[in-house]
Amino acid sequence: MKTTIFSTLLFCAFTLFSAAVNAQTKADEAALNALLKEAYDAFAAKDANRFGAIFTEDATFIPPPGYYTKGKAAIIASHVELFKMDFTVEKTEIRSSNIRFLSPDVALATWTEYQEGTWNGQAQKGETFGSVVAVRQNGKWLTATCQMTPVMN
Amino acid sequence: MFSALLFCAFALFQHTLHAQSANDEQSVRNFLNAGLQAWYAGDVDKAADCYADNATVVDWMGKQNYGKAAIRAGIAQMFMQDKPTRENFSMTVREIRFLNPSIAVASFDLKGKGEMDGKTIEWAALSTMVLSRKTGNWLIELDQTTGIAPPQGQ
Repeated sequence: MKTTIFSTLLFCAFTLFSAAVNAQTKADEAALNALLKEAYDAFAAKDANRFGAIFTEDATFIPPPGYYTKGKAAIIASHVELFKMDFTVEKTEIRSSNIRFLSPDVALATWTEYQEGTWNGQAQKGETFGSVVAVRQNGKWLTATCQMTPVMN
Repeated sequence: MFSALLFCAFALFQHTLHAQSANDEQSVRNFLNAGLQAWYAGDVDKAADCYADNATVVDWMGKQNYGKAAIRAGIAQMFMQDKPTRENFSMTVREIRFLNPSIAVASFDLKGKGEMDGKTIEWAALSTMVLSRKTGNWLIELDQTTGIAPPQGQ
């Protein structure tokens, strides 16, 4: 009898723990999706400071043309220059995405995007693979590293 | 007296932390070097064993392979077509950063030569590997490469 009660209690505790973990994961996934959405929204708005706010102080960023930027300040500075250029983003479709937790405070997000827009008045379109390694700092998810690779079809 | 002891204890603690960090960085460098040697040796199994079961590889053309089996097949195909050698492929570590004691991000400069349409072309790329330490061994969770675009006008 004692064993049955103990087993039942243990099962209930495990179920509750699992539910809590799943709820936590869902909340973290939502926060990570919000982080990525903020990156796209800030980029579309051409707001370098807003874009830079998603990164940690020592983050690295490799954009599609393949240059290496280290540190939030440098990422903001490079985007101040980029956003002076003549381009528009008219359509963005996230075609696939995945979030994997490497530890409770480190997550790996990958996705493919399809974008249409203009560069110096010329129509542009294409697919890009993106990845973000996000870390939780003081309860907030931030980007520690981001890399984008153009997909050549 | 107590302050001096506390300072010594703190200094020792700091030293241990740095030693641990240097050891960890060396263990990542050793792992990466062993992987590179497997590439140079054309050893598909050893090269594939560097990856976690659910790893992702994205090459400079944006081609994606998900999972160790697909990654192994991709490596085998590449070794048949254009096997990396010390002469045509180099990998230089730019930075190794620890996100926690069991997760590291390594950034590389890649350079190589290859044949395209009967011509030898030289290429350069930036690569990032996300590594996790499982049961004491490092494994690659993500291996992504982005080609460096030539300067405008070329």
